[in-house]
Amino acid sequence: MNNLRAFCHRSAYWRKLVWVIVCVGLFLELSTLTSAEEVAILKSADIRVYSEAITAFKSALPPSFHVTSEYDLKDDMAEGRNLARSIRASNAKVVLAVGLKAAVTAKLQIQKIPVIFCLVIDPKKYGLPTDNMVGLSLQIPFHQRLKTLQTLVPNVSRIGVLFDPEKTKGMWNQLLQDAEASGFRIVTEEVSAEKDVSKALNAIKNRIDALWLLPDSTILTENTLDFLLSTTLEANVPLLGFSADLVRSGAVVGTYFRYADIGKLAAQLSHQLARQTSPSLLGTIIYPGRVRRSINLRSARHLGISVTFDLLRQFDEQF
Amino acid sequence: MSNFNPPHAHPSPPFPTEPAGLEPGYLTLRTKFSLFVSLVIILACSSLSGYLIQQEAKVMETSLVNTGKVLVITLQNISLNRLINQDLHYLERMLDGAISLSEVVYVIARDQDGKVLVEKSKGRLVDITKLRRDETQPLFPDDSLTETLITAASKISKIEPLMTVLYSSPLNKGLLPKRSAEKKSAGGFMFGSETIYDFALPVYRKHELASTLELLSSENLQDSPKVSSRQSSFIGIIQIGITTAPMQQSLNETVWNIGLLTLGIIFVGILLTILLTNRIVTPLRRLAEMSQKIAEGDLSVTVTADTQDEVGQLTTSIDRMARALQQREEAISHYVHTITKQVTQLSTLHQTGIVITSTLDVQKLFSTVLKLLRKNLGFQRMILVLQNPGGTKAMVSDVSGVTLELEQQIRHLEFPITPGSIDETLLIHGRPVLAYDLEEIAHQVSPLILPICRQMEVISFVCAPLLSHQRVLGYLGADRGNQRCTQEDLDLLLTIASHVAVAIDNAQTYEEVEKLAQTLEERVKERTQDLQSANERLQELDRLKSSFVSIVSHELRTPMTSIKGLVENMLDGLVGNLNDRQSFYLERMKYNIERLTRMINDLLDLSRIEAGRMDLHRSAVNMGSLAREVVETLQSMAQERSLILEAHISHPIGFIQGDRDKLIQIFTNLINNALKFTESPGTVTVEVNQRDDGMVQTCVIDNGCGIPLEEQQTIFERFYRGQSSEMKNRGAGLGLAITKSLVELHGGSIWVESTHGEGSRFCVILPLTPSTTPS
Repeated sequence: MNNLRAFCHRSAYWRKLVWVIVCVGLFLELSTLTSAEEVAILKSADIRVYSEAITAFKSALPPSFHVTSEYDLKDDMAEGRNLARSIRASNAKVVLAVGLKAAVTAKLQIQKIPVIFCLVIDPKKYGLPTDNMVGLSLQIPFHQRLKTLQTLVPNVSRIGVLFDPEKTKGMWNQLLQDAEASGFRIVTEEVSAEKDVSKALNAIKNRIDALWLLPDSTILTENTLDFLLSTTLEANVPLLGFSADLVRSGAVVGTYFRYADIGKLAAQLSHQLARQTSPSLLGTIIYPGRVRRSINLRSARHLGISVTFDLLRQFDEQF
Repeated sequence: MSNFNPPHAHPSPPFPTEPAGLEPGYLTLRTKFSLFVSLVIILACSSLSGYLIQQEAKVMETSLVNTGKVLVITLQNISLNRLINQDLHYLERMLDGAISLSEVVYVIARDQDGKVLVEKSKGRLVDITKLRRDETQPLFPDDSLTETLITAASKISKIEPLMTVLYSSPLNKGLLPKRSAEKKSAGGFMFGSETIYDFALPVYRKHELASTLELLSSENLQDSPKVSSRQSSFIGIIQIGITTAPMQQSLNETVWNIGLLTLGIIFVGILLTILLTNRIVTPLRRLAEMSQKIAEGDLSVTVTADTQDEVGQLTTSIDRMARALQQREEAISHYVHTITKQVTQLSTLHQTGIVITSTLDVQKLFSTVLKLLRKNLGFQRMILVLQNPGGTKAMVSDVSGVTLELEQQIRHLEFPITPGSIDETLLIHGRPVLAYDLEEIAHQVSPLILPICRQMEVISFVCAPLLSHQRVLGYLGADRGNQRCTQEDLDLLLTIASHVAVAIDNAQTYEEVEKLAQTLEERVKERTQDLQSANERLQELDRLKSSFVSIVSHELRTPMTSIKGLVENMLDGLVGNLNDRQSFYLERMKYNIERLTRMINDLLDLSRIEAGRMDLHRSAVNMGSLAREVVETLQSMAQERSLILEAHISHPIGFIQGDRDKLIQIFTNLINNALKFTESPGTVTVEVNQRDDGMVQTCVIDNGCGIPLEEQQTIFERFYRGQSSEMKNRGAGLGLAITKSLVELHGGSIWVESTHGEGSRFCVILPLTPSTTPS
């Protein structure tokens, strides 16, 4: 009987204790919510790449941050002014601009709020970043990519490059410098229109050991992709891509940053910018930490590239 | 279920026929119920069948559409690279595989310009029942559809094929869309036509790197290149035709099967409904028949419940109700009988009461009452026996219900009241007698009466004493012939007897009173004759007195006039000069002669009035003017006595119809009296005014000595002279009597209001002429 009474007494005590903990927890949660920092997202369009990065951004935001609004330019720069006005009127501490159009809109319309932009292929071409902006680079330094190529195909010396001077001349210059520094020779063919891609490739395919793909929208389209893939395979020329999609389609190797990693890094930067713990970041472009590598084993087999187990361990994805 | 058992029930038919009470033209409950439930079953089954068929058709159609979609998508996937390479051999093999399916009518692979690369067709449907096709007549969509498909290719989703409903008709070579086919067949039904679902799916290049390309596409500040890129990847169309003929055939079979099943269900349902209706309605009809019989008054019918359901409960309830009704009717019959009997008794009592109050003739009363009681109470014979005043004998006063001979024999039969007899019980002790058997109490019956009873074959009788004011007057006897009398008869007779006793008592009392009244009337007649002769004598004496007064007055007035003339001559000095003494004496003589003359005139007036010879010469007289005139006339007299005489005439005063001289006499008399009985300084006032009741009131008011109250009652009587009046004022005592008589002759009245020592007020009211207007 005494045991039962003691048990009841203890039960009542624990029940009270649990209630107190729950109440305190609720209070803390409420206080956290009430003091949460607001973050606004401005994206260029509703495409899968952006969505992947934004989802990762949201999931990686600290609890004291929450996304108040997600604005979509819908590929229309003219809409940027209205959306930027709304962002300015909000209590957003940080703005995440996703895509080129969003970054340019932020540059033009938002000056007083820290902006993190990402998924912009060539930000410098558009005068990005400004003083209130931090950029996340999508491009991996060429020497790293060259090193990967060298690892996979050691006897490569001539690298072919197709580029539209109006779009990727800056990148081509950088590649040229880095490649020459690493002992590679760059065989170049300039292309100004999509229809000239086949001609240009046919012109160089027999003079190169590998074809380097730049993120050039003139060279790489839905219509040219199959041609590029089939032609390089037929010509036994390894194709070097800059995304997992390209490797999956037939490129032998690809080095890239994952969009989710970019989103997560953006979330960390948001925290730093809102708390003003890293003011020196503003006006810079940051490289996301880890470079991802992928390999297409079928293409490699077709090209006669031997992929050892140790080599394979260096790749994050294989197709 | 219930069994209806009327007392003389005919065997019921196996199936109930139409109820007898039902009017022709109306539907029976069975018919209504059967019709309703059948209709419900038909509607439900039809709706369900329709719904099932519709659902089946939908399912089939959906299945067909899905098959078509799956097929075309599969073909699209398979043919992707082959279309790019335009591998016709492979495509042909692929289409051969597709066309082998039963639903597929044709398969077409087109390039991006719509040009047919490979096409396969099973041909036109020639036998719809066996689904046989003629391969020599290939069936393909019309060319117009191809153009539409090419145009829409860019808009078609990659996973959702474009479906077009096509019709084949013997009139057209190719397949046409629904609208075109309807136009060509002028909207009518196309016999031998076939419906084919055409599924078309554009083939696009597949790219695994959509994300990368999207990213590159978005790296452009101008616009989005999505559409252009898609358009440029369109490489051909896979088109497949799925016929609905097998589905239609299968659907027809389904419709046929469901229709047969539905008809079967409806038939069975209706059959069951009719059986169920019969099962429900049959006991109800029996109940209805029972109710009808109950309504017609036959409460002896019974019905037993066969089941314990609602109908069984209803049957039991109705049977119970019928029993209750039967019991109630019996009770009501009993009550009605009782009430009728009581009504009869009351009626008898009432009629007896009427007879009693309508006649005071004792003998008539006896015979009427006996007849009435016998008639209303159902007695065969009745007898009324009264007790003689001495109380030792009784006498049969009346009988009823016997022969005339026997009646004469019995009536007025006197017999002694012997101790121990029923006569003693009845007449001495006042107790009723109920004899169930005459022979048992024969020793108690008077020897004079007993033989008569036996002669009349009386076997049982009842007797009730007639009691009034604690006195037994006699008794009433009655019998019922062959039937024995009961206590009820005795109670009834006792009730009646009390009323009859009172009636007899009253009649006897009335008889005595009548005798007394007759004696008194004779005495009054004698006294009246005595008084009449005395009155005649008195009238003669009064006439003689009046005649005497008249004659004496006339005879006295003549010498008095002569004496007065002579005295006046002497006072005028016709016979020489007179000394003072002589003059004084002659003046006194003249005064007394005038006084005497007035007295004689009064006597003459009074005698005329009493003799009814006073004639009034009526004319319209204004009482105001008349009063003023009289006042003026007597003004000198008032001045002589140092009194004030004045007249107050209110206006307006109407006219009266009166004898002016007599009216002047009335008021002269009244004012004279006032002046005489008023000491100086005093005032006599005459007031005349018109009252609201149509009378003119004239009052003579003085403040003289007044009249004592006891004299005010007799002041208007003849020869009355007030005790208080002085000798000098005393007349013959006729003035006020004449005045009153004259006033009454004018239809008026006179009265006095006086206070002794303070003055008097004599008032006369006279009626106004109805139509006079006040002057």
